[in-house]
Amino acid sequence: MPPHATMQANPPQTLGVVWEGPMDKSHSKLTEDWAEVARRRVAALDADAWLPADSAEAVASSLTDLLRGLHRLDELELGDVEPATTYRPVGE
Amino acid sequence: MADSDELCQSTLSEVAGWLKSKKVSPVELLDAVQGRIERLNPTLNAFITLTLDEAAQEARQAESEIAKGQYRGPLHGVPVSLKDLYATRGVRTTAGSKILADWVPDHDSDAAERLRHAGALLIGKTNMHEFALGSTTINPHYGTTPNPWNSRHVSGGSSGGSAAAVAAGLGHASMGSDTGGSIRQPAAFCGVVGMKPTYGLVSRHGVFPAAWSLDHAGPLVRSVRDAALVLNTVAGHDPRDPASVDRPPVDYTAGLERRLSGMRLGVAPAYVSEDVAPDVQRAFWDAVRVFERLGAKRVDLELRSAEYAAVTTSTISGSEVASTHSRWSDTQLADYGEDSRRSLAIGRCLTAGDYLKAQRARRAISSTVSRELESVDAFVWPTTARPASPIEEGGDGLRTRPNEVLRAPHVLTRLANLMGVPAISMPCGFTSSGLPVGITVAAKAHDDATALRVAQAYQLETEWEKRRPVVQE
Repeated sequence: MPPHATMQANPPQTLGVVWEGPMDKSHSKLTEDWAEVARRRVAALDADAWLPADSAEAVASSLTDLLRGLHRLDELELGDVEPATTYRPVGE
Repeated sequence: MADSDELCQSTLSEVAGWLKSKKVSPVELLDAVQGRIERLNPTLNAFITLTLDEAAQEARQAESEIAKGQYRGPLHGVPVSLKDLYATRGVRTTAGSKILADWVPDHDSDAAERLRHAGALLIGKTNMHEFALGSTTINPHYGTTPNPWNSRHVSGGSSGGSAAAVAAGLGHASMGSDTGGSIRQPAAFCGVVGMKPTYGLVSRHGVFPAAWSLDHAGPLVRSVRDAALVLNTVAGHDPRDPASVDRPPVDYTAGLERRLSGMRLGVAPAYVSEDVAPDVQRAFWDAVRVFERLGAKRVDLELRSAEYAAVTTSTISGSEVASTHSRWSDTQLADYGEDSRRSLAIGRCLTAGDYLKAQRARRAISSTVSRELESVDAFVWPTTARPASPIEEGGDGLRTRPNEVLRAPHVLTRLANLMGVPAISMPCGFTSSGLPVGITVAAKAHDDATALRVAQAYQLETEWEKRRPVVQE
């Protein structure tokens, strides 16, 4: 099972923390967790074939931000919201 | 009559009038534009492929038709370009890539068909960020398109060649594409008008995709009225595009001059944050005061859920881009520039769960924001947080902190793609160093006419769109 699949099944336990506010231990841990998940996902790409080392780090850094942001989408309380359908203007 | 440079730098609306009244012929106009391209394109590198011989034939045909009273409309005899991801029959279409460097389509994109039918002269295919996967038009295969206002700065992107060409008078309109600001950001950086219409209004048939559910096709021009004229030509139902909407045609020039008295204009002050350059803030708030002076009633919006728009669009576009490119990314990776490889790598790291979560967030954000926007007729924000960045920094004024949850102008620029609403960027000032600043006017889905009307009222009151860059030869 690839690392990102593990991630989906077992999200880090710190994910319930509210992220806004002062940097504290839980915030640092949270950041560290997503960075690790990002590094694992990039490594699974066989990134050496894709990118120079510094680019792989840049990808992992961007992916860390993205995964952290994706987690924060839970703040929207998605509940039973279904995915938007493509090929229609949203809200139409 | 205007001299050659004035002919080139006039608006589409102006030259259309001269062509119709036969004060200028299409051949004369094309000759002027061709001369200017020969002088300035070596500096600007705005075109990947020029089609001036074919355009000359079209100009002679247009001249003959107009002389016989067979005037087709405002684009008849007008030099126009296409971003090089619009398929053009018999003309190579690279999408700014090495992979498609030799692709010569056997068909036209819908926009190319409609422009030809309207009698426009297709003068060439413009430079762009490789596969539209970035926003600088620093292209590893075809070179960089610098900013016409300052060649040390980027033109923006991904439709940077189109914006630079229009700003510099190398054609009177250009068709671009916009997945997260790729028409509006280069328009803002280059001091021209760029419009992303309502999703589905302009067919993407024959436009190489970036992210299907976010991609829009639209014009870059020198005035709001020009945008309306091009939209009149390229909008319309096309069953070849699954996103295309089937609605009665609209004349987008009708009602353009109506007053703004009583119109409710939304502003989200929290998104004009400390991240926004002081020159941009000043130009934006000055513009808001102009709208108020014109009779618009300012309504402050909070738009809390919109702060999630950037991460949502990044996830959707990353996933869709990875899918689009799966045909090549396993076997021809070395043919992509490093910038594109990074984009593809991020997309390939996302899961189906990530994508669906983003599409669920898209619905939630759109629903919440739509309710808030019911209190306004139109909505304005700075198109970018900063003006065009120096090329040497490889910089990008739109996608600063692209994947974070935050309140900043680029988040609203991307929100327009997420929701599919019309948004038009136009010049609203200049920085102290002489770089253009853009403001965006957005409206509700399928109310493109209101976005155009509000933008037109501003342009009639100000002079920013009349400024032209002096391009060093």
